[in-house]
Amino acid sequence: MTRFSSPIPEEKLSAYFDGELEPAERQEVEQWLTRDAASHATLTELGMMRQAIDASLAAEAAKVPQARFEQIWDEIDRTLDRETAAHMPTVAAPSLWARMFGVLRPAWVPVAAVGGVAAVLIVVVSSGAVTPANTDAVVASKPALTTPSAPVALVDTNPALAVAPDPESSFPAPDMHEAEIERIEFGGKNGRIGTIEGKRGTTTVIWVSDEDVGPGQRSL
Amino acid sequence: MVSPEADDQALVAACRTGDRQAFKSLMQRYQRKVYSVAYGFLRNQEDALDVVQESFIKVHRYLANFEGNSSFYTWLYRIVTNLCIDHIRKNKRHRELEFDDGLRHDGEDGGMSALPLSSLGDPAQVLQRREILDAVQDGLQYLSEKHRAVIIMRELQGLSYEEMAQAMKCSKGTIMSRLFHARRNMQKLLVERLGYVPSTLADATNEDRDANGVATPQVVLP
Repeated sequence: MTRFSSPIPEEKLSAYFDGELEPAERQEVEQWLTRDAASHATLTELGMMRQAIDASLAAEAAKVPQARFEQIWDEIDRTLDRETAAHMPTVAAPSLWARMFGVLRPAWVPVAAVGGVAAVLIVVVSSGAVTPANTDAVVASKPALTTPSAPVALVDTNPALAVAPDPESSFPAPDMHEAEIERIEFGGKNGRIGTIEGKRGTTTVIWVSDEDVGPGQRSL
Repeated sequence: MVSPEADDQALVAACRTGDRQAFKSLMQRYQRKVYSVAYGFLRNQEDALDVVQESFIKVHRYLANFEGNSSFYTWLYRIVTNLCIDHIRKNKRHRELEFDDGLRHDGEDGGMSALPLSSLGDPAQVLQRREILDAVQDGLQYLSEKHRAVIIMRELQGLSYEEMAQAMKCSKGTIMSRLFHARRNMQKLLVERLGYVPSTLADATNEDRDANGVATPQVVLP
């Protein structure tokens, strides 16, 4: 059985030392301490022990070289880097087009310049190719030229013919007055254009004769 | 960038903005104190250093949750305490000799008043003596884990009984009783280690008393 050296239970004295007693109990202990030297000495010993523990552990901590703490900091630093990276939003891998664009970026301006020049050249060359001197095309058309001397053959755009679902019918039929046959050549043969009315509508027919024609009559 | 000499509050605020250097300053300020606590609990240098590392990682991770209701070091010590207790629970098979709560205070040990420390002279000089510090280390070594835990939490960290009860998942009454017994065991171990005879200590203690028979106060009472 524990024999306390004072009427104050030492457990209560320990709690008083820690400041953990209720005000009434605290007052009771303080009154007792004024007349009990042993209890007062006990409090002193508790304070000494606290200081001894604190000093002892501080001495233990002082034994650890600073370099060891620096190692720990390095490890913490790396861990924080990893955690920070893990919380960063993931960046999607660049697409094939993006990668190609990236590769071509340095040559983008020269390529664009060359492309532009090429486009201009194509336009110039194209416009020269349609000059009348070079046109021995079998059939050529251009916007209506209503010269009185030129024979006119109208392209039959009868809706009855356009009904056929052939690929050509998918193109828009020219308006009667928008285009006209300017010139038809038959490889040096003469001929004429006529129409035949039938059950399926009007059919345009070109007759070619075997008779040679003079150079001035080749064009209709 | 905040100065390394800035107070805790300023450093914490800087840490929250991602200032890694401020966090390092905070760590450097408390690393040895944290180590002291961890070593007090675990009695192993590498284990204690592991807890130091883990503690500061947790601090950084949860700094946004620190509301500032308590001081930073109180918050930090709670983290350290919880980590140490977790560590002890995980490594119970490695624990050292453990005393039961009731051991060594069966009424024949002389009680707290027999503690020899005050008989050794000026506290500042006494605490510088290697043998006293070593005796404390031995005493902590041979305390039970529960007794060591309450001693460290109270004497080193200054946690309240309520905070200790939360950390150890028990009642305040249990903490009060456990702390009392832990102190008595520690006292007994110190006496054994230092080799003082209680009767001599009693005489020495009496020498410190003034003419009215009241011991000279050597610590600031709460």
